[in-house]
Amino acid sequence: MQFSEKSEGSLLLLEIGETRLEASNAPELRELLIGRIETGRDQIILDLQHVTFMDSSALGALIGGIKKMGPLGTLALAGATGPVLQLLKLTRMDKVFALYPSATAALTEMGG
Amino acid sequence: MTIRSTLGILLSVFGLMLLALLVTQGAATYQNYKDRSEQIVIDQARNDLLSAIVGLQNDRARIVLIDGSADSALASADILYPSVEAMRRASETLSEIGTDTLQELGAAISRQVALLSFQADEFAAVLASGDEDAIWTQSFVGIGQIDLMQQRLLEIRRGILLEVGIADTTLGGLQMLRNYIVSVNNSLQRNRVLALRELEAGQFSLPPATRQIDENSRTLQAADSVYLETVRLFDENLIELASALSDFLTQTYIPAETRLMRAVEAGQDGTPERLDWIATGDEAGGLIDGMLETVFDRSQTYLAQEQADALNTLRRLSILSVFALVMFGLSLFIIARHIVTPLEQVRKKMLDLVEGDLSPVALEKFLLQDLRGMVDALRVFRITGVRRERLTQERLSLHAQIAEAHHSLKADMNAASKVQLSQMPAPGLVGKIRFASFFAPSHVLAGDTFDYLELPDDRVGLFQVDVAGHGAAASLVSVAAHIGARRALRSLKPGDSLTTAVKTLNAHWNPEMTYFTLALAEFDTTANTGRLVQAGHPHPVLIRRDGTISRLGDGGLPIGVLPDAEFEEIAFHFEAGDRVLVFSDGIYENANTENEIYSEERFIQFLTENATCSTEVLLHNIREALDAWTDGGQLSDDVSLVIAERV
Repeated sequence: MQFSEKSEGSLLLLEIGETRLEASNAPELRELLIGRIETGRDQIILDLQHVTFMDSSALGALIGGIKKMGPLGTLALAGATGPVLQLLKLTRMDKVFALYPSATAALTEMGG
Repeated sequence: MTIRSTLGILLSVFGLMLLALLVTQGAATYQNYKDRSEQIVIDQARNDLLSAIVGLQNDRARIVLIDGSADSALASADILYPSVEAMRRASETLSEIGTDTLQELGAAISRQVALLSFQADEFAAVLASGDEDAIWTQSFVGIGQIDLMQQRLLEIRRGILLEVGIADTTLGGLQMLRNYIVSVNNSLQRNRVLALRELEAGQFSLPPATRQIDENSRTLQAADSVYLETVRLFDENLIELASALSDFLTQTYIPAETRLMRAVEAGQDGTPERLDWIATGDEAGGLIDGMLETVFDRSQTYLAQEQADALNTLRRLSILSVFALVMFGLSLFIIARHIVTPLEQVRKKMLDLVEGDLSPVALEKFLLQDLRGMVDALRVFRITGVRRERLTQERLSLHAQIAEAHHSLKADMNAASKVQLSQMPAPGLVGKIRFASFFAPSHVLAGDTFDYLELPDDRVGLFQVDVAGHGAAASLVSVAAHIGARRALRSLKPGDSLTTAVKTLNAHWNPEMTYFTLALAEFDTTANTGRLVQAGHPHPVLIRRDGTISRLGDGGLPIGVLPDAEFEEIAFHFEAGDRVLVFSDGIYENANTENEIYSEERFIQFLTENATCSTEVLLHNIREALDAWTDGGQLSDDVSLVIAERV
């Protein structure tokens, strides 16, 4: 799975390079998130601006990540559009994840 | 071209060349030996011929004296016979050996022998008779014959020389010396005759006779210096021998002859000079005979030495040849035994290995290191081959196990799929609601499930579940979800809160299990109403009797994400002819061959266009649209859709 990561203070920005998050790469996404959380990162922003499609397996991976995160941790989703945003809305994921229109917005909000 | 044939050809060529060299060399050496042997015999013949010539020269002088009967001591009964014997020996020798030419020359000598023999007999007869006239006549004829014969024999001698040639300088020197002796003897004998005749007449009355004698003397001297120089040129060792005669002639004989002639010319008696001259002449004759013998001895000794040398060379060459042939044979044996045969064996074993014969490399320990290296390599190849064979067997066995496991798994999956399908309710009327459905798992087993059931007090319940993911794991979770959802519906009393039922279901969902989306509905056919809880499931579609379309619900969290999640209940009218479509996201999230998903918008658009169709036609069209989009290929997500129609 293609991704890049960048640290901004206590924030970890993970930019997903894939256009589709689905059953085939959901396990990798889960491992990535769990791995970072296990190393102690608890302020993670997932930049989904390149992702055009996400299925239930990938959503499951995100939910797996938030379940792993402690009560003080945050897993923010940024830049979701189109079907991805529709799925997040349909499943009311705003109740589970912090949603931001863009990574910049997320960094500003969370950093401040 | 194999190594065997290449080596075979090379060694054959080498062997043939060696053989040719040995044969050529051997033949040349043998020929040399034969030539030397022949030369010894020919030298004897030539010596005999020379003796005959010298004998004839001497006899000529004696015949002249018989004629004059001046000095009967010079004449004897055995005149000419020694020459006949010498010539006969030469003739026989030449006839027995040598070439056709030599045999012809032998035959020519033989004819001269007959002639001379006849002459000798005639002389013997007339001498015995004592008839002076007859003796004189016979002498006159005989001298002419002897001169001719001498000429003839010299020619034959030249003929032999032309035929056999002069082998080397030593023989050349000896030949020169012999010629010199013959020439000296000729001049000597002729002078003797001339001088004796003149003495018989009492004076040198005829100046030509004196001149002739002087001329003969000069010839002697000239021949002397010329021959000496030539002999010196050929062989230094002969010079002493030649000088002995030369010195005697120039220092003793010629001065004696000169003194005699001067005395006669001066009109003196000259008896002491004459006696002195005759004595030196006899001495010269003896010297010449001795020299001829010495030259013959020398040439025979020399030739015998040459013959022995040739024989030695032949012997050495023979031993060398045998040694070379033995070495060649030994080389052949070593090459065949230690190179060609091992290579053949290695090659055969290599081919056997290629053919798959993996029996141990049972080759002897070869002598040559390279070949031992090859055998070691073969052993490594074999071990690799054995290992590969074992791996292949293991792989095949593993493959068979996998195939069996796969087969068994597939059978299990198919059995499970049948169970899953049997769990799905049949289409048809439940209470006053008619249900139709479309179910297509992306794999054999689906994570989607649904059910509908009649509830007390004219109520009908419906739910649909979509477990995240698909396949066996999702399908097992879906069974659990199915049981939970069905229990929730069954325990639902009229007027009970749907959200409470869903919240209970969510709260009791094992957090270790995958989450799922759920649409749960209850229809009241008396009140013509319906209510619905949407938990992460796509918004159901309500198609009114008149064909107007609307979406139900505002979304909601899936089951199993947050244990204390809140849910909303949506109420709607549901009258005769109205239809509700409940579906999982697979209906619009399957991708085509360009990996493009069908999309929710396109699906809603499709439903809008087909809203007035009967349920059967609508279901048929949905199936066709999905098939057209996926081109009949593998589905990437489970598809399930239920249509509930109020009758």
